[in-house]
Amino acid sequence: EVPPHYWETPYSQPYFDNSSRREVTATVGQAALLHCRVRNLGDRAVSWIRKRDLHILTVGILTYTNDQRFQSLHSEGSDEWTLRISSPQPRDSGTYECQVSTEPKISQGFRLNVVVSRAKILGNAELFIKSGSDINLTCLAMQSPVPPSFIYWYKGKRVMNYSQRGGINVITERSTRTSKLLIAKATPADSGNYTCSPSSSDSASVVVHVINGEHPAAMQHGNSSATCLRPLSSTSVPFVLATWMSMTVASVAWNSNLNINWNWSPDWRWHWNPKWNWSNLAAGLVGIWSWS
Amino acid sequence: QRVEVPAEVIVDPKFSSPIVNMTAPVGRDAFLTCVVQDLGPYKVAWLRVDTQTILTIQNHVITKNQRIGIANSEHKTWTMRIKDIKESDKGWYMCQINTDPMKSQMGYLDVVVPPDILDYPTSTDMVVREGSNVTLKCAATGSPEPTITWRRESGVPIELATGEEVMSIEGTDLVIPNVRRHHMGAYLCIASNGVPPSVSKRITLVVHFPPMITVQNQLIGAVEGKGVTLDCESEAYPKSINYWTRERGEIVPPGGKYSANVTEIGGYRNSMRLHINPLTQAEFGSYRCVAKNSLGDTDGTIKLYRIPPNAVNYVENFEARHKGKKRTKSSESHHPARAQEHSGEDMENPGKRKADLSLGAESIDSIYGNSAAGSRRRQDLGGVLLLLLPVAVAVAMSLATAGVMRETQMTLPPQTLTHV
Repeated sequence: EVPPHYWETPYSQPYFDNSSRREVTATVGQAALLHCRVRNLGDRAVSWIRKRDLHILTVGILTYTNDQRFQSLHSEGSDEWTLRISSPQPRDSGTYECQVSTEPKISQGFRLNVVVSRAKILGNAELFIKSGSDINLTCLAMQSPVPPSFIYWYKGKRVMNYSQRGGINVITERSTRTSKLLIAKATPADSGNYTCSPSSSDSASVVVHVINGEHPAAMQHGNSSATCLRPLSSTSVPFVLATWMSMTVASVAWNSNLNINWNWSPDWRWHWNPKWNWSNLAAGLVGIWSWS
Repeated sequence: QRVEVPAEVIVDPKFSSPIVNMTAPVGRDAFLTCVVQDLGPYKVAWLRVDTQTILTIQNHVITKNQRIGIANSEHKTWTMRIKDIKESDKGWYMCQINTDPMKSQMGYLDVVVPPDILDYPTSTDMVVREGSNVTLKCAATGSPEPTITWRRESGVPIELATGEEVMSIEGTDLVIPNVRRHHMGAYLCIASNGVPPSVSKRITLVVHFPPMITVQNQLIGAVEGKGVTLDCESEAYPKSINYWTRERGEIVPPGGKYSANVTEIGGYRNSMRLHINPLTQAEFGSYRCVAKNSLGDTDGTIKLYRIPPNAVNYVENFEARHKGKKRTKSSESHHPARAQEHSGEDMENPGKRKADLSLGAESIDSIYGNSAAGSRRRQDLGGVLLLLLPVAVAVAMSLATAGVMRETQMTLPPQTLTHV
């Protein structure tokens, strides 16, 4: 049993190991870690506070805040108390304080920057390549806080870095955060959506069209005709039914109005003109179809 | 028949009332109370705002400050107690609930300190020469900042530079230009800031000046064979040596027919008396009363002449004989009349009265009844609304179309009657 006054002696006072990085940059979606190292902790508690609004985040290994993204990591016996923010957002940027419950308190401030990092493919969003030419794509991950571990290229959902097709070259430089995709002698089969995906950034995409030089007009014609013949969408079914019902009711009302005008011939009241009724229904159906 | 049990609903907690700010003197206990409603599974924490220090969380005291304590009543009233408060405890404190987003409110603790007079730069007892300028200073600490009031002991008024006299004056500096002997005495500097006890300090002002002699009767007649008393008044500070001499400077010998005594009248005034009994021819003539101190000396002259036993005849003869002699006499100038100063006995010091008020009554815990927050299940109207939507659209469309049809029917040609 250690006497209570033991913790008050100077050689038992906690102090910070200043080897921790006090400035941390994280990207949106990637967990942020703030490492606080305290020596000679004794019976004190290490807490994390958000200085913006003085919100208590964690005390010891317990999370006080109800924002479950905050967590305190600590291994028994180690000097490190780490604040982990899973899925950080730009609004989480600010100063966080690691606080030891001495009297008076000792504390260390940590600055967190949460940035939105996105890759970029040079050139236009859509590329038109003549068949037989080379496809040359360059991807930049400049905004990434750290050089990416890898940069993957995808065509559709298939990784290009290890493609079976010959003539594909991927050159990646981590220091310059750059990756080049080279496809030799492109064919119309190489048309598609190409995506560059660094490990530390959001991905970027570009659409490549490989055009056969002999029939450019035919391709355009085929593309435009596809937009004309659009099938009936499922979301418009209730609206179609409602319109059809309204047209039917309207035609019945019309016939009733016509009969009302001739009061001197009451025997004509219930006589229906079948030609009017059927033509009206047919016109309504055509209109509904065109609307949808 | 199945009875559906309603699910437990967690209500968002909220503060029932704001934190009441508190004022307390140093050394007392302070309490700040946070009243929370519907706490549920959430937690309450207390923090110090200016130092951003965590003090307590729920029932746990996080800080190692031994003077911090926490108590709660039915998880509604959370009272943080600070024992033996210091001036550094003054500031804002935050009560925080760990909702998302976090809720908090703040209360202020004002720590007041009774006044205390500083030894420096407060003046100490002063010795000044008459005619010089004097500034008495008094400085005090305390929270709130104390007010300094000057007054003289025994109810003597303070004479201002304008000549006006007041019983007391406020300000850290008391300026007396061209100080006079009647300014001599004890001055009280009283510091007060509303927090008992007030304190005061006594500063004695000593005014040094050379002696001054006043003679009421410069010509005294006496009958031979009887006794006579000569009177002088002297003023001096420091105290003077007083004695009597004859014309040629010889000191009047004590004893025999001469009897001399000095009586102190006031702080710096004395009365000198010389009794001569019986009178013979040798005792008639001039006498001098002398006063000396470290700053100078002065004297007054009294002429003693003989009155014949036959008063009527000899008086006329005496005056006629003196007119015949052309003798020049040096007479002392008569000093103007001055106010008579009396310094009474020392009164009890009013500032040092220890009126210790009892402060910091404990806050009463307010008890709130459990609010029966029964959960009621809302009727699901979504399905019915979804069914009614096509019918409503159909009715609206039919009305609009019928209106259009009604307009177009006027343009139709009338039909020929087929039945006669």
